[in-house]
Amino acid sequence: MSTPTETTTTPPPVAPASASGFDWRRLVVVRGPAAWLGPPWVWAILGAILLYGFFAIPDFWRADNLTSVMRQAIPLALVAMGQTLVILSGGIDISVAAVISLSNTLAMGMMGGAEGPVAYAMVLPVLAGAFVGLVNGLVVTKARVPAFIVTLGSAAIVQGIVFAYTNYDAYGRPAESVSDLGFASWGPLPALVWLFIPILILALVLQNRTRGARHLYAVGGDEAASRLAGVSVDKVKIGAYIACGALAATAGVVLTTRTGGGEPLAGTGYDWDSIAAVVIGGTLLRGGKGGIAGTVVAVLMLSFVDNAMNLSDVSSFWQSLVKGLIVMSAVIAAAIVALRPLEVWRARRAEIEEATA
Amino acid sequence: MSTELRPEAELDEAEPRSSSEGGATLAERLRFPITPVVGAYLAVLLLMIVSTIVSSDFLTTDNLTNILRQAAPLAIVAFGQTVVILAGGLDVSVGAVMSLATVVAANVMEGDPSKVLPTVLIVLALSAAVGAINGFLIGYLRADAFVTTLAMMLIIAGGVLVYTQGAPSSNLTKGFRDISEGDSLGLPNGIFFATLVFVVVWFALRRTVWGRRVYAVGANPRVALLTGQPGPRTVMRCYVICSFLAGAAGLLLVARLGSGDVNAGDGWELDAIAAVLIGGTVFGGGRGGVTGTIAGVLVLTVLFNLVGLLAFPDWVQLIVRGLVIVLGVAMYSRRITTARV
Amino acid sequence: MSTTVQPTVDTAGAPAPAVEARGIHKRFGVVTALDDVSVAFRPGEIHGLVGENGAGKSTLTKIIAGAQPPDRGEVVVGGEVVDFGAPADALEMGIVVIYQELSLVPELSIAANVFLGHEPRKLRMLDERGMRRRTNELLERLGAKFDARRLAGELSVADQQLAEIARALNRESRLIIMDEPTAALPAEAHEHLFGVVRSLRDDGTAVVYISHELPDVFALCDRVTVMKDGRHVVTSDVADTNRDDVIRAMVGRTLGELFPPRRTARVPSAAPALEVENLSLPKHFANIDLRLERGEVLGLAGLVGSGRTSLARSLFGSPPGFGGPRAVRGTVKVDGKSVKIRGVGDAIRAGIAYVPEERKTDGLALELSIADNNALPQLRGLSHLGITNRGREAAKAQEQVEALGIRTPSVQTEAGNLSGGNQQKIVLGKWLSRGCDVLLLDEPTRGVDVGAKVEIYNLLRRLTEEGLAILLISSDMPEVLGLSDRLAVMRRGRIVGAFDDASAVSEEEVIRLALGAEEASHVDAH
Repeated sequence: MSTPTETTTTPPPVAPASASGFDWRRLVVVRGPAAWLGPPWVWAILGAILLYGFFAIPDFWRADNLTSVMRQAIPLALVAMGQTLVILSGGIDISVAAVISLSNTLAMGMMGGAEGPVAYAMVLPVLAGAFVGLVNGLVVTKARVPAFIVTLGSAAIVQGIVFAYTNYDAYGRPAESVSDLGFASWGPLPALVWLFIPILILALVLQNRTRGARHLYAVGGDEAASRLAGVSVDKVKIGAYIACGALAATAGVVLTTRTGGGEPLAGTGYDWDSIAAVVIGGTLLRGGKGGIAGTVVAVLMLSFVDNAMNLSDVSSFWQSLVKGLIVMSAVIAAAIVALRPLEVWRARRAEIEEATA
Repeated sequence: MSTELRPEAELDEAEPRSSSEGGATLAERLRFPITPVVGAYLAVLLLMIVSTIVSSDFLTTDNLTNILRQAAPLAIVAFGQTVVILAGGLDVSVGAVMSLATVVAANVMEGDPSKVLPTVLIVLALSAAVGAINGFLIGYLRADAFVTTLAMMLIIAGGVLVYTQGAPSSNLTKGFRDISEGDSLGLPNGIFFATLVFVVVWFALRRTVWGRRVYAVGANPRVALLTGQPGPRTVMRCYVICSFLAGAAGLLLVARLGSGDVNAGDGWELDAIAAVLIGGTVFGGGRGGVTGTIAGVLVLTVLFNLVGLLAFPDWVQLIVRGLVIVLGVAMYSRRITTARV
Repeated sequence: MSTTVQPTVDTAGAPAPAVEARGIHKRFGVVTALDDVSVAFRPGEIHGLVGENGAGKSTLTKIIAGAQPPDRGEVVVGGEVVDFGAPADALEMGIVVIYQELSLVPELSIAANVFLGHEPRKLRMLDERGMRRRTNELLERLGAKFDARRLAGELSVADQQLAEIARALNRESRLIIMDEPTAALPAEAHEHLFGVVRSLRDDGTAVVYISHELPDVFALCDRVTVMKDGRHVVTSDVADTNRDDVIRAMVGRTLGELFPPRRTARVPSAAPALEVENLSLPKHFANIDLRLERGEVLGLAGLVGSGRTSLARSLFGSPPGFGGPRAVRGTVKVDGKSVKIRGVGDAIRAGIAYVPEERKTDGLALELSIADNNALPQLRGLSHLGITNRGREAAKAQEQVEALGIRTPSVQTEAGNLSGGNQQKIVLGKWLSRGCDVLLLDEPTRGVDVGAKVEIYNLLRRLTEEGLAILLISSDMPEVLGLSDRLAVMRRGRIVGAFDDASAVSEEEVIRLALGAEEASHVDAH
C-alpha cells in the first residue's frame, strides 16, 4: 500500500438486503393469506393427490368417499392443531396418544351405553386432557426439563393409568345418539364435519387475531427477546400445552362416535402422525413460524393418501412406508430450501458487522 | 426450542453461564453436590437396596443374572444413542432398526448354520446403511435430527411390514441362539457383548480424535467449524455407529425371542434415550459419556425388575417408567434446549 | 488516578430524579460487576453513561430494566423503591431499554415487534391496522424507509436497529436507556436519531445514552457519568468537562501509556506474510488489496458494518452468507505462495489463524476444558494414528497458561468458568499453541479488563518481534491506533484509506474516513 488516499466516492459494492427480483423466501414465509389458508405447496400436494385419484382410482371421487375421508380425518386434525400450538411455542407433545386413549376410555366408560351422562362424558374427558397439558406445561417451564422428556414421561404415566382402570380391555359403550352422530349426514356433509368447521374457523381467528397467539409466535421465534419485551413466556407455553391436551382429548371423544367400545390404545400412532402433519404443513420444529391452516391441509393430504392406497388395494403394510417417505421428503425439502432465511438472521445476530445498504 | 445463547454485544466481566443460561439446576438448588454420573450410580445402589428390602427374591443369582440379561441389549442401543446425543442430535429410529434386525435375521438365516455369519454381517451392514442415510441428511444437509429419524422410523417400520407381509418367521439356528442367549462363566453372553461395546465406544469417545470432535460438535458447532473440524463427517459417523449398534442389539434380541417380530423394537428408542439422559449426558451434547449410560440402563432395568418381582400389573411399570424418566432428567437439567427437541 | 472532572453538586433547584440507582451491588460468582453504584437520572435530561467494556454499564442497565436483581441496593422510580421481578414490571413503570444486541423476533412483522407485549385490542382482537399505522408514523419520524409490514428478519441490521428504537419510542416511558444506538446505523441516520433523542428530552423523558462515541456524547448529553471497574467514578455536567478528562476517568491513565512501544526496525523478509489482491465477496466487500508483512501489525479500522469481519472470515475460509468459500473472488497469497482457501481447514493449513469477535459463541466451547479447547486446532498433531494423548494436550495447554498468564486452577477447568479476559487468552492461546504465521484478530480486547488488555498488548508486540504477522480489526480507535504499525480504513466494504505509519495518524482522520468525509462534520464540533 502507498500513501494515504482520498476518500473514495464510488458507490458501495453492496446491494440492499431487499433487492428487487423474486424473493424465493416468500414461498416459505407464512403470512398474509397463508396464515388463513396454509402455505401453497401443501395445497399443491393435496391437489396432486386429488387429481391422481380422479384419474387413476375408480371409486375415489364419489361423494360418499370424499366425505368419509373428511370425517375420518377429524380426530387427527384436532390433535394436529394442538400439536401445532405446542410446536409453535418451541416445544413438542408426545403424550397426545395417551391422552386420546384416556379421554376415549373415560368417555365410553361414563356413557356405558346410556343417554343420560352423555353431556358429562363429552366434557369431563376434555378437562382431563387439559389437566394433563397443564402438568406438562408446568414441568417444562418450571423444572426446565426438555419437552421431549416431559411428554414422554407423561405419556407413559397416562397410558399406565388407562391400562389400570380399563384392565387392558375394551371399556364402556357409546350412547346411541353418539354413535348415530358418527354416521349421520346433514345435507351434503357428515354431521361431524359440520361441527368441525366452526371449530376450525374459531381456531384460525384465535391464531391470527389474538394477542395470546401473537405472543405464542413471539416466544417460539425468540424466547429471550419476548421475555425482554415483557411477554409472560411461561404462561404462553403452559397455555399451549393445555390447549394441546384439550384438543387431543376432544379427538378421543370424537372417536367415541366411531367404535363400539373404549380402546385403551385408541391413540396409537397419533403422536407421530400429528407431528408429521405439523411438519409437512409448514410449521418449523423449532417454533415461531407456521400455523394451523397448513397442518389441517396436511392432515387432509395424509388422509387422502391413506384412502387412495386403500382403494387401490395397496396392502396396509405399504401405508406406513409411504407415510414415512412423505415425511422424509418434507424433511429433505425443508432442509434444502426453507430454513435458510432464518439462519441468515441468526448468523447476522452473531456478527453485527454487515454491509449496509 | 429457540436459541437461548445470545451473543453479548458488550461483555461484562465473567457473567458466568449459570445466570445467562437458565439458572442453577434442580440439583444445585437442592444443594446436591454430586455429578450426574455419580448420582446415577447412587440411584442404582439405592434402588437395589430398596429392592432387597422389599422383595426377598431380588438378591438371588437367578434374578440378578436376569437383570443383566435384560440390560445387555438396552445397554448396547443406549451406547449408540449416547454418541448421537453427545454430538447434539437424537435418533428415534433405533427401535425400528432393532425390529428390522430381528426380522431380517429370522428370515435370512433359514435355520442354516452356515448362514449365521453372513446373516449377522448383512444385518449389521443394513443397520449401518440406515445410519448413513440419517447421518447424511442430518450432518450434511443439516436436516432436523428428530424429524429425520422419525421419518426413517416410519419408513423402516413400514418397510419391515412389507417385507414380511405380516407373517412371523422363526428360523434361527440353535448355534446362533446359544451364542447370543447362552451363559458363560455364569453370566449371560449378552453382558460380554455389551462390555465389549462399552470398551470400544468409551475408548473411541475419550481417546480418539474422532471422539474429541464429537464432543466439540455437540458443545459448540461453530467453534468446531472455526477450528477446522470436519463437522458433517463426524456427525455422520455418529449416526452410523448408533444404527449399527441398534442392529447389534437387535441380534441379541432376536436370539432371545426366537423369532423375528416387526414390533420387537417398539419403545426401545425411548428407553435408550431415557437411559442416556438419566446417566448424565446432556440433551444438546458436549457433556456426558457412556460411563453414565451404564448407570442409566441399570436404573431402568432394576426398576422394571422390581416392578415385576412385586407382581405389580404391567401398568405400574409404565407409570414408574414415566416418573423415573422425568425425575432423572429434571435433577440435572440446566439449560433450555437449543434448536432441538 | 487523578481526575479534573468537577463532580456535580445537587442543588436544591435540581429536578427530582426520574429513576435512581442507590448503592447497587452485583456479583457473578467471584467477579464483582457492580460495587456500590449510585446514579440519578433526571427527567428532561440526556445523561451520557460511559466506561470501558467491563465497567458495568450493561449490568447496571439490566438491573434497572428488571432483567437482573441486584444483590444489594435499590432502584428508585419516581421517589419510590421498586422491586422488579421481571422486565415486564420495569416496562410497566415506564423504563424502556434499547439493547445493543438486537431483540426483535425475526418471524414477526415490524409492527408486531413494535407492539410486542402490549398489543392494542379492538373487541378482544388485535388492532392490526392501528398497530401498522402507528408503527409507520414512528418509522417516519425516525427517517426509516421501510414499511411496518416487513418481517424483522428480512431487514438489514441498520434497519432493525431503527425498528428497535421505534419499539422503545412506542411505550410511555419516563426513562429510556439507549445502549450504543448508533453502532449499526449508517452515518445519515445519526443526526436524525439525535433529533429524536433531543425531542424526547424536551418532552420530559429521562434519556440515558450509553456510547463509546465520545464526540456524540459531548454533542448530545447534558450530564455524563463515568464508570470504571464496576464503580461509579464521577458524574458531571458536560459543559464542565472535556474528552481528555473523561478518558482519564475511564481508563485511569492517558492513552499513550497503555500501549507498548512500536518497534523501529523492520524484520526483513522475502515475501509478505499475507497478500490479498482484488478480493471481493458480493454484498460484503469489494476490491480489497492488502499487504501484511512479517512482524508487523496491520490495523483495520472502520465502523460497524464496514465489512471487516466479513473480510477476516473470508480469509479464514468461512465467509458469511451461503455462497461458501467459493463465493469469494480474488487472490490470496501466504508467504508469497498463492493459496486456495476452500474452507477453514485450508486456511489453518496455510498458517492462518482467526480469533473471532464473539468469543462465547465462536471462540470457545464453554463446556469443554481449557485443555480440550486448546487442543482443537491441532488434534491431528497431538495424536498418533488417531489416538489422542491426554498428557501432551494438557502439557500444551499448560504452556499457554504460563505464557499468557491465564488465571485458572488447572487446565481441566471448564472454559465457561473463567473471566472474559482469561477466556480471550485461551482463544488466542490455542492458535499460538498450534503455531501460525498470520493472526487475524477481531475485536481482541472486547469485554476484557484493562489489566488483561495491557497483558495482551504486550504479548502481541512480543509475537510480532518473533515474526508473527497480525491483522488487527478493532472498533476501539485508541487501540487500533496505539497497536498498529500500519493502518487501513474500511468503509462500506472498501478500503478508503491506508497509512504506512499509524503513529502519524489522528483519530479524527480515521473517523472521517470511516464515516465518509461529508458526514464527519458534526464530529469536529468540540
